[in-house]
Amino acid sequence: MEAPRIPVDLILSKLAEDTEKFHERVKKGSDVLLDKLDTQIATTPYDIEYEEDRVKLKHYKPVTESLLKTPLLIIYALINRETMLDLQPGRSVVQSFLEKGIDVYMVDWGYPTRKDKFITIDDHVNGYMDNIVDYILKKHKVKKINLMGICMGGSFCVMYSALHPGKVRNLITTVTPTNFETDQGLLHIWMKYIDVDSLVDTFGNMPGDMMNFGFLILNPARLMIDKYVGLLENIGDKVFVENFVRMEKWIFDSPDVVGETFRQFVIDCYKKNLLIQNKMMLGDQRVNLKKITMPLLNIYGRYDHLVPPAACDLLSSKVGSKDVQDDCLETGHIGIYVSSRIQNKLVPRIVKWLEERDTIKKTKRKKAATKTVKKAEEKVVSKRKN
Amino acid sequence: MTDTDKTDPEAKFSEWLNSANEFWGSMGKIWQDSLQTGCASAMRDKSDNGGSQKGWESAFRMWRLFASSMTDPSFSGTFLKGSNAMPDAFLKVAGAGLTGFLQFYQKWQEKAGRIGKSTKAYSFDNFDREMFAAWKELYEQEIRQFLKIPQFGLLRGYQGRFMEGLDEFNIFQSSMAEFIHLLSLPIEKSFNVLQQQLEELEKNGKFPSDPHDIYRLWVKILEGHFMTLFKSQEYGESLASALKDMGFFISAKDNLLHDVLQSLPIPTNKEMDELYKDFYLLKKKVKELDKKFEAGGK
Repeated sequence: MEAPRIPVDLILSKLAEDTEKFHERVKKGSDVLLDKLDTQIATTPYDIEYEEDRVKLKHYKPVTESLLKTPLLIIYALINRETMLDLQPGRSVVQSFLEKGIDVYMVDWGYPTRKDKFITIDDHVNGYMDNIVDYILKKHKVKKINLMGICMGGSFCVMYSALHPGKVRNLITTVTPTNFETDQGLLHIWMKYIDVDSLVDTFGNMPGDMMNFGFLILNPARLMIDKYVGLLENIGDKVFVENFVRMEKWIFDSPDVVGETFRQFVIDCYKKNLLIQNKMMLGDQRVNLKKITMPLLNIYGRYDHLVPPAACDLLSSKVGSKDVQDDCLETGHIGIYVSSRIQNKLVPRIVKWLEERDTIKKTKRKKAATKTVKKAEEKVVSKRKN
Repeated sequence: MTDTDKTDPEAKFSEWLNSANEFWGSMGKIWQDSLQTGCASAMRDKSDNGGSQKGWESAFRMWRLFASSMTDPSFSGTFLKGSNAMPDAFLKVAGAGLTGFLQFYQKWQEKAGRIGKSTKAYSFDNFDREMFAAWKELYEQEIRQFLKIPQFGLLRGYQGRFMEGLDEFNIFQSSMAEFIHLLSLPIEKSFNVLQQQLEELEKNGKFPSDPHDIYRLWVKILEGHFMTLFKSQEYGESLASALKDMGFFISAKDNLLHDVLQSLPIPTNKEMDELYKDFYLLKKKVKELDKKFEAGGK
């Protein structure tokens, strides 16, 4: 039997081939990078309808007649920006909602400065959020809104719904941490060691760059090496480069995180796990999850290493609502919003769930009924023809 | 080490020379062996390199000669006799520094002796922290005390803050060095594992012909090593310590800057923070009153 050997000839010929390809790629790459690139993000048109301090309320312009009577308010996290939900046309959660006839509002938390460092979770939830909800209720002349939260914004929504159950018709939480007593996610492990008081006392607000560095070293092999190797391999592909730059724009657009809010979130949630135990206090009010009596749709990612399933799935058994659904998607923390494959499932899933629980506008219902009749008639006709 | 050894500079000096002698002796032997085995034969043939080698050998012989002479009790005694004339305080400083340096040096030698030994893959439980611990110990026990000497006079406050800044900077650098070293370990380990796996593949006749496959294999191994590291207690502690020490250093630096800004017509962060807090509380009060007023109006 012949002894195994390293196929040096094959490797060399492959390397030579790769060198040629590399030269070609560099040429194409320079053409792409010097060409005009479309790397704009958050292009779906909106109006700023409400402003308070650094916080703004975006109201997206409808593209079709409203399907539901109740508008949807989306609350993003304080980490990174809400533009992730509107990365680009065709890959935009916001756009997909609009196309399905949902009236969408989204909070832009803005860029906190040193003067904002004293703002607490209570100020965010019972202050800004409550004022925004009141504004929408008044404008639409409705008593309740549909509320959807993302990551830390989801935790805020949980707190809000427990404290103001009368203002929320349906609650949707996506990749929302509520149970922090798990060692599945690296953040949950690291936060146990970190002296958050020292950090907040030093920096005032948590610097966005520092937070970003923390997220990058969650997986340096992929996020600091392999990602850029991938870019080099596809540098000649204009669409790939445009999408890559859009993502880079979003990832590194990191506002600082408000100091006191960060301190309370780490201590009360990550270190003491108070939220899920109904022991968390906002101002002088206790957050009791049993008060969440409205329908709850809890969506999370199976491969989420930032907010693992164990941090999300306990919520449904702790709330007071009897209409609760958990939905574990085969994706990660960001993939849930930016992957085209998952987006095609996420938005229709949420819209269908809302449709089943909300009042459908009369005109829409009429049209839907006409559509069904027409379809039934067509079927009959086609059957006859056959 | 006995108590007498700790305070006797002569013994310390001799100890350091002996250990240095032994260390450089073994290093020189390694160098010569490598030349003899032919690894550096190409270099030896060239006249330039031959010259540098000769220079190295002669310098090394000189050093050994010097060191062995200095360790002779009669010679070193005479050499250090003159030092008695130095002020006591200076001797104390030098003595303390030398003790710490000796400990650090010994640990460094032990570490050098371990170079080349294989490290266990996917394990960070017993990563070698001795280097960092030794430096921290040397700094905290022997150097830090001089930065903590009470300051006197009109400028004592400013001098004190400067010394504090220097102290916190040194501590921060030390923690950061350990943290960065930890972050570099997975890279080192992943290459070792990659080498082993490639050998295995070669044995089975499955050596990848596409370099991309080797890259992908390496990234996968590297990812695994990082995940293991990040879940370890050592990493958590090192991260926490680096962040905490960075916080202390920034606070000390801010205090220094505060001194500078005081002489300029620029408000300091401290002053602004006080103002911001008042502003925040006032705004909150106004919003509450506004809500109550609106509710009352209805």
